[in-house]
Amino acid sequence: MASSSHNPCILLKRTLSLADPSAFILNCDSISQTSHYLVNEVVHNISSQATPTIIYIAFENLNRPTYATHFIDVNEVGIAKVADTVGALLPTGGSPTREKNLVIVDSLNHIALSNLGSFVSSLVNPHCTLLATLHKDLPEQQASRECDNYPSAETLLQYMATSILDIEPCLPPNMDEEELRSSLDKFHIPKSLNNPTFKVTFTNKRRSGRSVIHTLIVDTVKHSYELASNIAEESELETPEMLQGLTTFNLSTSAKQKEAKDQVALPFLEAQSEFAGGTAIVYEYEKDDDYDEEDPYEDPF
Amino acid sequence: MSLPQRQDLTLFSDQSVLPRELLNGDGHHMFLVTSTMATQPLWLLTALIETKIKGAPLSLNGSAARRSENPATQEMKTPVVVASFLHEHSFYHQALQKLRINANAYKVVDLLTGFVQKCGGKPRDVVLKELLEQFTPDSQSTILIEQPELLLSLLDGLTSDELNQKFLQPLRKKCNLLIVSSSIDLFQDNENDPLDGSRGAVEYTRFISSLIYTSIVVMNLRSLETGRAKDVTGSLMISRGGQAPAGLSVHVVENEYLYLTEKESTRLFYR
Repeated sequence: MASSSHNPCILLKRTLSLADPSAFILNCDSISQTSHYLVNEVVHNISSQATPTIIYIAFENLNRPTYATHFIDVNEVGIAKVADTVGALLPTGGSPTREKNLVIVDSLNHIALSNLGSFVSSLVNPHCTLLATLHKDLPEQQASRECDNYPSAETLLQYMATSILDIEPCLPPNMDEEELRSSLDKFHIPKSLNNPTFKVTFTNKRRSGRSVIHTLIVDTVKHSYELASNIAEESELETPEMLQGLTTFNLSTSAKQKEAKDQVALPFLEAQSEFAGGTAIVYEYEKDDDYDEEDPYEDPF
Repeated sequence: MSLPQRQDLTLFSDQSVLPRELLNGDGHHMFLVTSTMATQPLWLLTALIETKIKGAPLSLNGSAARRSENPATQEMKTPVVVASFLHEHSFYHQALQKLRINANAYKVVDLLTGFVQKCGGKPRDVVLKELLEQFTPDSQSTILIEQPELLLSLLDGLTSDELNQKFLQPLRKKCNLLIVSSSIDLFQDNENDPLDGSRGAVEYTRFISSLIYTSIVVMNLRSLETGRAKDVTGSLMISRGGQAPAGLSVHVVENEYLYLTEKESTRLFYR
């Protein structure tokens, strides 16, 4: 049984409550599901703590969110001065208090690729968590692609981030991903997107360098998180009704038949249990064998 | 043949098109109207102007027209500015006159006439600044701008980000509600012939996507997928944009209407 720190739901809860020391949380969103609800969820989770400092750095938004203690409009301040302004608002020295301070960036897409790395690293600070959004579906500016071999913004940021939250909508049952993509390519936005309930592919990078990926369904109304695979498995359980009417053959199995099927001892299982104590290769010499004791490569045992 | 029941246009959960809370607040909000050549948005734009000036889209809503005698719906007298890269003064005057809107209640800014003569040879920043100067800041006003994406073609080397940062964002700050009407013709019917990665296509895609991310409502006018019909002109899809109406108690109600534009009027009905 996995311990609680390995439970993906608890791990996500800890990340969204900033209880896990994560320096840079990257949200990857799209038109079909923007990071708006996820950011609100993080704010909801930390608002129970004593007066968190929330600094909102706005590239797109002009309205100060009600939760933001400081609002920085990049268009007014100028991108070069953002890091200094944020630095002045955060505590300096002393022990790191990352969980109390949050820096939100509403979109990293409007920063030239050559400056993106330095911009993000200037905001990462031992006293705050950086929560930044990248729109996946916004094509990259061509002017910023000076070097052919430089990674794309998404690759670069995913490398820098300590946690990545890739946000996808929970599609309504009558729509598949291909249909959604073709609608969005035409900028036709279908109904029931941008919902308070959505799918998050959560990549958690550990200090050891190992990263764990889970897909979860996040409900921001009930503030509950559930593994997506659990939900998918439940809905895919085979029921006798699913096989009705497909052919004239009887494909379904009754409860009695199922029980009998489970009791059949399969031959290969028995074969395995014979050597349950482990196996060994026994070499028996025959009279024509030429065995040389001096040769180290002769006998593998 | 009888027509289906006429429906009222509503965008928000309080059954309104422009909630009073939004218009009276001090925020800077944005609506986006996307359309194509086959589905011209004039009727929707004039209905939005009418809502701002008269309190309800009387030309569209049958039931609201009956309430129009109520003085409470006629109290919004804040300025409306219509700026267009596509149509001149007389076009909007005529269209709004049909809806019996007093010409003093709005101002039309023709941005395209003489554009090349006025702006030829000037740096991009100066041109955008001069365009902005045609709008006076008023925290209660509504600005409607038609096809600002034409600037991407009109100004050499202009990027989508520059257009957003140096023109649309300052414009949003000058008003309470900015309604942007954009054409998405370029993105239709690309299934067999995808858009090339040329600079123009990339900037245009970035521009429309950014508009969707920054608006709270997206109204998409599209033609029928099955072709042409005598009793339906197209469909109007109302969907949530990338921003939620922050600080408001109302939310956007997603809806899909069919509409029929006839000589004098447009009717909405449910699918």
